[in-house]
Amino acid sequence: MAGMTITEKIMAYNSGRDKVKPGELVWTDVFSVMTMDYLGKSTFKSLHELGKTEVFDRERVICVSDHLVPPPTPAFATMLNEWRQVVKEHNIKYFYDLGRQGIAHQIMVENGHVLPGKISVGTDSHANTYGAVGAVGNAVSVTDAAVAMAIGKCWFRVPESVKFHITGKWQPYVMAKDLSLHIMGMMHWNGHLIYKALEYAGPAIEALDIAGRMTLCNMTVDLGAKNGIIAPDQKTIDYLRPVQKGNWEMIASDPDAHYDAVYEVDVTNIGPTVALPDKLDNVVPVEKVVGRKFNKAFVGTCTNGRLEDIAVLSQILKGKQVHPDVNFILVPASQQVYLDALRAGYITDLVEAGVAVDTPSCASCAGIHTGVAGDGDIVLSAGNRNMKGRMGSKNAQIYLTSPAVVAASALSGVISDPRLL
Amino acid sequence: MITGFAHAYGDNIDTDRIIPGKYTKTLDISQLSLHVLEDLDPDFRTRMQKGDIIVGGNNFGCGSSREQAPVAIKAAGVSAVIARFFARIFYRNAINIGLPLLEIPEHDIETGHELEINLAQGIVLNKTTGKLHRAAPLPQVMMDILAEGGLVNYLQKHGDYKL
Repeated sequence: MAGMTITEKIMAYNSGRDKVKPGELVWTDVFSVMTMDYLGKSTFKSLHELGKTEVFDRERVICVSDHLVPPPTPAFATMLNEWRQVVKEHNIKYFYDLGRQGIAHQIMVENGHVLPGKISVGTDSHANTYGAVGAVGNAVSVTDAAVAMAIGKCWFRVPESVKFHITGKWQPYVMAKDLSLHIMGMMHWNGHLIYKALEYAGPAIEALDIAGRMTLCNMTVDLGAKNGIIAPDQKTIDYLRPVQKGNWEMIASDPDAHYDAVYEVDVTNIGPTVALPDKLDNVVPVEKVVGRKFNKAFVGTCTNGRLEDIAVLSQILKGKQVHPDVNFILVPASQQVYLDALRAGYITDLVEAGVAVDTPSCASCAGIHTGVAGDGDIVLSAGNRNMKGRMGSKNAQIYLTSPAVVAASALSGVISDPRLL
Repeated sequence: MITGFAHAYGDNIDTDRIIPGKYTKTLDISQLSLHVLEDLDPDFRTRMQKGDIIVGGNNFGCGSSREQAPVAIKAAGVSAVIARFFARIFYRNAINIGLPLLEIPEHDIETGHELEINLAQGIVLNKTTGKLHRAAPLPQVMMDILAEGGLVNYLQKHGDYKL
């Protein structure tokens, strides 16, 4: 009998079974449930419709304010007030509200609310990010989240697994984001990865820090996958030890596990990569678009708003000046990231270079506040989605790329290759 | 046992074609049911009979994750949806609102074929062609959720999942 992949093991062990097969439906225990300001009130309302007034565990329902903070309109301010009231009524232990906020997925990982071998769900599509520490992270609807909040369980169809075996050596200024976009271009949107468990493995993945692993797993949802996952290793242990909210054990795929497909990618051959406006899978090496003008630069989001990303910006921009035709906004992914970047001196470097730094939130990635795009804007973004209207106006264009490309380009005012700095 | 006539469509039927975005501001099911498949098949509502079955190809229900898509199909009186495979969020939402789904990787079901579905066994008999198609049977607990009309009703009644 063939072995199991890490995702199959997690589905099996959390549903009290020794073995599961792809295609089976299972009820699993859920380690944590995340909901946030945008959908949280509806989620709690749905909980009440189930006839429940209390959550299954006040320490494992995590509430975060990220989409609407700080409120840009009276309507958002009112929504936030209602949200705070609802969270308070349910005696939630971990409420990351304005002042202690961050993008929910960053909050979940950096505070150890997601753990290897466990399943966590959230009411936001990028919950796939939790796979960076070996968890199964999944986005669910309000009804699913309410059920998970009520009884600590969720149902899943066990996904088939696909492995990306990544070898080679990361080249200077090439980041996890470039690999994500490269795979997007390789596989295409709505292609062969729908509903699959996408497992990243190999020496080039082991070489990545947790931040880079989060970027990779984060964008698996945009590849159509059910979850993205990387087996825990020493880096995972070291990252989680000071913050973890529970015990866990090492877990990995069996050597004889079955995969629907295995793709080999040598990262040595990947350079800085760009997705052209409107389509995530319309991907080119940066060389193809060097020289194109843009007027807005954005670094932030649950994809690329971490300390390691901000460090790259500082490395490129320190002692230099952002081009006068470019408005550059940086939004750190959490208050912790912001504080760490301040202490490291990166924020000083960036403000001196002419970067506007805003308080942590989802910012313009959800198209609702903090630097949204207007008609005619051409945005060079280190976010995750570039469909029309994503960042505001339908008449804006969005290029997606890595923080290194955004920083290098911000100096010249045209898309530039950071390797040529 | 479910019986009905098939209404067959192609691959990648997205939720906008199941229920256009302009109608999704409401969860009023009588309103939703009036507009189901409106852009894909404008005559669907007049041709269909209660209990009929929608049949899709690959990736049925892709696109926006709106819960109104399966709600509209169910409210229109459709008894089940068959596809080669479903988009993930549509699949979840359909089970959660009590709309039976069957995945049959290979089939040649056409509009007008008469189908007989045994959900518990995951068997679809095409009475027009005489062919028998097998889908993965739904586990008992899913059958129970469907029988109660969805997850909310099920939990209100049982208070927990029965494994």
